Amino acid sequence: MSYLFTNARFAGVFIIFLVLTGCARNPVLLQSSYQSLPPQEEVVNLPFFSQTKFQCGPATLAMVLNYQGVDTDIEQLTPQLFLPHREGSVQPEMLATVRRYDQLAFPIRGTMDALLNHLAAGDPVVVMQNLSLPIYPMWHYAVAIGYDLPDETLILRSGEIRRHTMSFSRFDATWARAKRWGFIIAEPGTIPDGISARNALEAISAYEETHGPRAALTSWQAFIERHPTSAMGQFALGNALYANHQLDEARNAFERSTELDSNLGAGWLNLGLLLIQMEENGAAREALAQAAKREGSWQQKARLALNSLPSGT
Amino acid sequence: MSADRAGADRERINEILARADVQDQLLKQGVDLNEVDARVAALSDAEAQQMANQLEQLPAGSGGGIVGALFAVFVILLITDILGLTDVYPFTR
Repeated sequence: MSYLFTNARFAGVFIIFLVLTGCARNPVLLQSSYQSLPPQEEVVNLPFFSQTKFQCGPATLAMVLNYQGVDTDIEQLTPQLFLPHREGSVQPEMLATVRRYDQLAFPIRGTMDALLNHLAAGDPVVVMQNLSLPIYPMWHYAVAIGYDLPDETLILRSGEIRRHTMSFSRFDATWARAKRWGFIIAEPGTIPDGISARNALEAISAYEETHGPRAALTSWQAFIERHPTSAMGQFALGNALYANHQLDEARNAFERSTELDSNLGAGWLNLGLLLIQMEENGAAREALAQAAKREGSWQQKARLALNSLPSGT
Repeated sequence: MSADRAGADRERINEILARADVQDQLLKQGVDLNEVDARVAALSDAEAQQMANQLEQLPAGSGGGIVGALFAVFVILLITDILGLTDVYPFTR
């Protein structure tokens, strides 16, 4: 009995603590989002895989991958990303596993406004939550599939619940404790609406690392369509075009990258090397000289290439 | 010139060490030996570094319930659930 009493007092103190630390939280959505978003949205045809034991990672991936038309299930995914002794799955392997199924994983900006905008665009979002408190964490992955704006609720496929509704404020509290981490998956050549240039670069680069530049070509093309003035994007596109034996197009992309950022040494170097291959030694010399005068890992390669060119051409 | 070369080599060695480290850690976490190579290969360089440096600290999403929690913890989470701060017990909704 006294045990119960101590705990009750503990809880009482805790409530006072919560009140004192300002439980009145800021509104989770910008006023402008209430005006711009459709009132309701839900990806109703996202399949449901009920999590078994601690497999919320494999279950969420099974849902979003199948939604993309990839045929897989929890049994197949578990050995690919589950950590038996941790009884869970970690974020880097969630993203890496998506790529094993030839899909790209795009991190989203961590705000409720961004999340709802993605849902309004019809893209389900894998989210990480800490359902409990930081001192006693309960990490969880779920798929956000929709929302109801007048009702202020988010709709998720979560754990063993096919359609879990949760108030915006409760969800945001659990999401904030996982640093508002989330991602969308998409096939190569597609970039979901509302993904920042930086996050898209990161996602496509990671895909390119494991699948090679040719496999990333359509994604870089989509990236440049959306961000035509990204020097890094033009450079990456140039590499992918080159890998795909489209030399003229690759040259254009490298030239564009150095126009956009004249300090992009790697862009100058690759442009120069490509021009040597195209037997335009004069232009190659100019590009390599630009690379050679800028600090960086390309400098030495540029010098070597310059020395290899016959003089006076 | 040689410094540059050494720098590139060092980077490459770090990369290999990071992946070897991740391999060890995955085995220690109980991952099947047959799966480890493919899992390490699937990681980007940045992800491999992250796994090598901080796998212990990375949150592992499991969605498992609170089992065998202290009564005090139960009471606190019950209250935070009712207050709309957490989402631990289904019966509070």
